[in-house]
Amino acid sequence: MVAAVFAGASVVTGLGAEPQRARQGAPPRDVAVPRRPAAPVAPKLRLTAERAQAFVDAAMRRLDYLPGEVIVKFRPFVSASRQQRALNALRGRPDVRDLEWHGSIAVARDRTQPNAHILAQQLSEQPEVAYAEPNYIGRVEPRSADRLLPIEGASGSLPRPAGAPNDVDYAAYQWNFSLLNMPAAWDIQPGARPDIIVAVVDTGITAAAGSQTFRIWTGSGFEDVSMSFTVNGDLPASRLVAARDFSFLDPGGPVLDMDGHGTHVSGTIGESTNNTALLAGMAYNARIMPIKVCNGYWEIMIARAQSGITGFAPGNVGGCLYSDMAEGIYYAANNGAKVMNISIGGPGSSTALRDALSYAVSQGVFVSISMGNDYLTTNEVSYPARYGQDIEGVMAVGAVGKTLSRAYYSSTGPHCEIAAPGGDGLVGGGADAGFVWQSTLFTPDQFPSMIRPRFDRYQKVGYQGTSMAAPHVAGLAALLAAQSPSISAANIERIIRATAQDLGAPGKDDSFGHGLIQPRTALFGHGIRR
Amino acid sequence: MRRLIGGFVLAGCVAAPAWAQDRVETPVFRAYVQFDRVGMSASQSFEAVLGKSSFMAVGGGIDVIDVWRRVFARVALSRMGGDGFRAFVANGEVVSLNVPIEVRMTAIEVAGGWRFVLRTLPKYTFYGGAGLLRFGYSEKSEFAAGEDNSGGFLGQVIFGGVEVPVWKRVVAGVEAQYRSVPNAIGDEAVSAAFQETNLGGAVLRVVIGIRK
Repeated sequence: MVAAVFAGASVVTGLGAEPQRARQGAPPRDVAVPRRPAAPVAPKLRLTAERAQAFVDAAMRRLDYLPGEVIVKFRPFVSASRQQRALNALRGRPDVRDLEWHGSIAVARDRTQPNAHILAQQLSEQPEVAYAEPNYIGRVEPRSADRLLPIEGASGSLPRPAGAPNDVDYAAYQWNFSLLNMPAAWDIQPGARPDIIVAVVDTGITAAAGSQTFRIWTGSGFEDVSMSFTVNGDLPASRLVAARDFSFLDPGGPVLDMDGHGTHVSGTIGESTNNTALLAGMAYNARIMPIKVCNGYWEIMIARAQSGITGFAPGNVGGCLYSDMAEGIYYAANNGAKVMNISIGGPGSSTALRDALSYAVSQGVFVSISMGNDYLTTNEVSYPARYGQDIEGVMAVGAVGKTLSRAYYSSTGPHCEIAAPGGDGLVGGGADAGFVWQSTLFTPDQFPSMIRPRFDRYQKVGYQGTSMAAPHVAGLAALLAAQSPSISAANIERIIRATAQDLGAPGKDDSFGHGLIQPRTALFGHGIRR
Repeated sequence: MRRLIGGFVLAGCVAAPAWAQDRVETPVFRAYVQFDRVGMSASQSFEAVLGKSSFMAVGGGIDVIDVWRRVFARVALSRMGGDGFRAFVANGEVVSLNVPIEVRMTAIEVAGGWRFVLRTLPKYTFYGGAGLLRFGYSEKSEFAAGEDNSGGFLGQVIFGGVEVPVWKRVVAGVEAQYRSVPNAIGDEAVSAAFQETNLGGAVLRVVIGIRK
């Protein structure tokens, strides 16, 4: 059961006033009678219990794809009957009417064969099919273990550098912007413009305040829990545009961040700046398009509870399906985004994602993607970052810490194109502890150990990860787009590359790519002689 | 340009040779103002930043005529410039970054040459010459922090022209020049992207002078 109250304060007041009026008789004529609010309309879940359970299976079996699901693209002009013929090659013979369409690609399900690689292989052999691939699960970076709990520092009392924004925690916490000499960059291009839209393909950003009542498993039974959601005051709703949920709620429902990652990433790109509150963002006048493509622990728990599935999901459950990511990328490209940030990575290559990125660039969208945080473990290639080196206008971003050395977790490889501050707690120090700080959801409020999570408290929170590096590049791209309105995505990449400060081995290398972004140099451009 | 130089060589062949003119002249000073149309050799670089590669220049100079026989000497100065926007060249494509930039150029010529009159056109005086050029160049940009730059560069100039008396002591003439100021640009920035190194170019000059 999902019940929702997503309403303004006036309706809530009305709820309280109604019984009182009934006792006192008819109200005076000049007093407006608050109308009884309509029964809460529950937003429909897009995330089905079946899929939520598949996420749980994937987490428990350590699969990097959703079991029993496959992304399929049929060749052009293949009729429904021929599509069905292709689907009949699978053991479960899924019905063509049950295909879940994400633009030009579809998701086919055959729960009789959990191994998605086998499903993809069987479908790929059909003449009607252009390609088929597992529906991989991307992960937001950083992983939860890399997050730092909020630390209250001596904010607001520290001297701020001349020319720096007056946000109270800027000087003490945002070493990353000082490292990039952002005040000098803002002298040239003050925070982009509202017509520059940056799509954030991530866990979402809460775009409307209100409360939702979701049924969840509490350990002893199901309980309808009212969960509060608030828009981040330092990234207000007026700065958000065309928000869309592709993973949890059906289109038309509110976009809700139930993790904080998407809000943090958005903060680096465009947190309100010079407003004496909290922290700053790079392109603080640009608008953010929240694209929710990830489901975390709470989304999974809520979807499972709708079908009466008892028990707790593993804490690491969830992720971002490639099918949702691809659809989100197409949506952003078709709805006015000029820049896109994807701080998500997965181990599987995907033609669907690659096609989506190529389409976005063809629509003039520059895309910044995190390299991944697996250096200390597998250092495996992360997708879609891998496609950055093949598509001009898409960049794979590695992370550096305060000392300009590669962050200890930042994955390396020949596809690394550029570096930006991602934080490094090992070379921290000071109030910031070496992390990247933005205002986002108060992290403990969403811990899986909570019985009743809440999503209405924002604080400055430090994260580290290539997830945090990528939005610096997206922010710079937004500034460049504002500075040169007709600039192409490929030229944004070329400028960022050419003006980077070389780090590590001379020239392009696997750790830093072309080096650390230099926003002020990129925006200043060149004269004839110098 | 080669055609122009060739024309002057030909004219020199049919002119009365200086030694045959058998005149003893004392040096004459002449001041003039000049209006130049300058087409820069580094045309792509100037187009990218200033939106144009030819400029109007205004200046003046002094000729000392008949220093020895028909030899003359010249010192002239002209200034030109333009305003535009800083840019970035990506894969040969110019991306304007809308940061204002001001470019100013000053050319100082120290040159000498030979004047002659054709028998068939006694009213006209033709001349040709060559000399040294000091070319001053400066860039100033909004938001610059040490990137503003200026410098002087040495180059060469060759020229040829014709003048005619128009009224009493006033003469008017037209002149063509070719300037070369090598290695003045091209180390970095837009000129490096286009691999253009020369601040010289072709000049079409209109001269109005006053004879003593």
